[in-house]
Amino acid sequence: MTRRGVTGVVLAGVAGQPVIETARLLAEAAMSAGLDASFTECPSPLACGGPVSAHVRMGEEVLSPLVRAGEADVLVGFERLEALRAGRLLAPDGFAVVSDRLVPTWRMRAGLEPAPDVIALLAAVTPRVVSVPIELLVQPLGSELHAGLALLGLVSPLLPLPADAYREALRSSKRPDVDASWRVFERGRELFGSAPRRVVCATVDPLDIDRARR
Amino acid sequence: MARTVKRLLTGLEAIAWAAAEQGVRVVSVHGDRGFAALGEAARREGVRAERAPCDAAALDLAMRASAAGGRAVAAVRSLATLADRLHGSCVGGAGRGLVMLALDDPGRTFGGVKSDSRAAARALELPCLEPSDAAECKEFLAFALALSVRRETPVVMRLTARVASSGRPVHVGLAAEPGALDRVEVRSRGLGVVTSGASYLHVREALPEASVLKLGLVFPVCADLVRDFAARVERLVVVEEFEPVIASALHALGFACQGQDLLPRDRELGPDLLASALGGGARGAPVEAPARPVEACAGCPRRGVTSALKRLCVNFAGEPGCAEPIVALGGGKTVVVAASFAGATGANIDALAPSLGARRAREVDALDLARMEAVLREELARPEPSVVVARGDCPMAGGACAPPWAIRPERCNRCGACLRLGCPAIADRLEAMEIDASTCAGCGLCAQVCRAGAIEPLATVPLRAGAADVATGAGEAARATGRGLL
Repeated sequence: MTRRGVTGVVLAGVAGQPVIETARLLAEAAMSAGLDASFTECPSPLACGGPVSAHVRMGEEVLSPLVRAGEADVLVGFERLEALRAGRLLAPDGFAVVSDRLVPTWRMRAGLEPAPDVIALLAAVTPRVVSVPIELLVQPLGSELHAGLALLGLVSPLLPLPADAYREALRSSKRPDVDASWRVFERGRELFGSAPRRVVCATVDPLDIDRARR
Repeated sequence: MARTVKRLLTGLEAIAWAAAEQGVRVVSVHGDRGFAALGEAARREGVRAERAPCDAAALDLAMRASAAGGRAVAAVRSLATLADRLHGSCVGGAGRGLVMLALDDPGRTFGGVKSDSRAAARALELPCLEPSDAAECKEFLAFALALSVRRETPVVMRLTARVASSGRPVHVGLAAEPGALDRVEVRSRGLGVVTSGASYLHVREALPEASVLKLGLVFPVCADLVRDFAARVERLVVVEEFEPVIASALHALGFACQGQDLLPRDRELGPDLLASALGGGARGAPVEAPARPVEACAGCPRRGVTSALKRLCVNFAGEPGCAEPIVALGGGKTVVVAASFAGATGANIDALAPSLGARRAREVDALDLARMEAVLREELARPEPSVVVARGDCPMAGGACAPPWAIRPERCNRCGACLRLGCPAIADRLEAMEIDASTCAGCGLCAQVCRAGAIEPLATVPLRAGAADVATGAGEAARATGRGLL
């Protein structure tokens, strides 16, 4: 699933979510696994609410830090609308893991525009879309600050890195909560491992609690 | 070969590392968005970093340090405002090394000013270096300091936001021998690209077959190198963001080159854009997402100021940054409302009033709407300029969050006054407006604008069936419905 030996990961969310921190952790993990790696951020000018995305590339030789359109092997969506915005970068055989959190725009809050069906729109790009009830995943072990780790854990089996590399990156990140972070990461990883067929093959995923509720 | 360790560093972190390694005494920084990380990184590496309120102050500090015999780095937003100072300093030399870092932002990554520091450096006749990635940031800073000493001139190092904020593995430890600044890479004869900075990486990605002349020194351009490269290729294309600085140097040397006729000049030239403009086709799925306009966070004290000004029907302006001053114009006079929030700029608010000719600065709680309106009305009526200092805490920067508010649907008449505050926590639902408790920072502005008295602290609003999302937060509801699925 890599292109020219380089794996591209795009992370997208709104400011205030740990998008860039997670991207950096992933790049650190790739580096500790002996790969060339890069990360780059597109931050928002405000402290919270604005779109934030980050690109991570890893492989034998990484040149541009930007993931090209249609070349993202993995899309990590911290927020639905931003995941959709990054959808044009997603490869036709890419894998999108999207949090069920949606931060509405002003037009949506004012009732001028409905929220789009992000999962269906992303499923038109790649059949491998999974929606994650993020609170459910993170809650027993941590807070929304750990959302990145849960999502990263979930996609980690798809990336060319051993689990130790993430652990190593976490340890060197000097986070105060390395153990809790690692448990959240492992929970995400187990979720992928426990339901690979459902997660990888299903467009309408049973994990999509929104759909189940309807 | 020196012993080195690999670390993942952004361009700015690599510069901070190099500043420590090169014995830089002070890094003076202006620019809260882009360059803020540089100051922090420099402090982590043990280099003194000072936050300046403007470009001129940042340069002045660095020049004083340099005149006193220390190596100095000034990080500024734009060189254009510094023309007179820099012309002066060319006479005085640069002591043990004076480097001006300029952060250009072609992709509007930091919402920065659109200016091309290479063009400014050319106008000032200062040498201008441009690194492509973090590793080069480290090497080029050492080179720039050495060049500054040798040529007795300040040296400009131009960064783009992409280079400044992208992380790459960098060899750190004992300094390695710096390579050449410029580099010729001969591949196909058909297309030769002259480029610099992050564009070099994008060119390599998008046009792997093209021959490349990668310039590290973008002003002045080495004429021999260009002649040599031009002789090796059939078609010469310049890839540069913003102004045609390299292209005009090539034209001046008598070489016909393409570039600005093929590429837009108002945005970042990423690999996708290069591929579609210079060969290859557009790719990627046509997915569109609703635009997300920038708005102030829930609980932002700035909203108190802008709401009061809007209610007074006063025109106002200000940079979109979190804590930039707001300038209000009403009744033929000016009131500057300076923000004093936890995430505020380096602007010295105490010095603001005298410098603007205002006799005093009045302080108001930013979130006390009635008081804010009264003070603004009084100040707008006074004949001389006024300064109003709005005090408040940024809830995103560790400021205290009050308990959330909620709307009593039976009292809400859906007038939309709260909605017009533009608060991310307030939404229009079917029967009433609704406050998302998990987003609300408890600032209470909505309760102050609600004429129906429908907004009360969440704790005092009784629970009602069907309002689980509001009362307990969306998460609780999700947990209740989702547990069976995992």
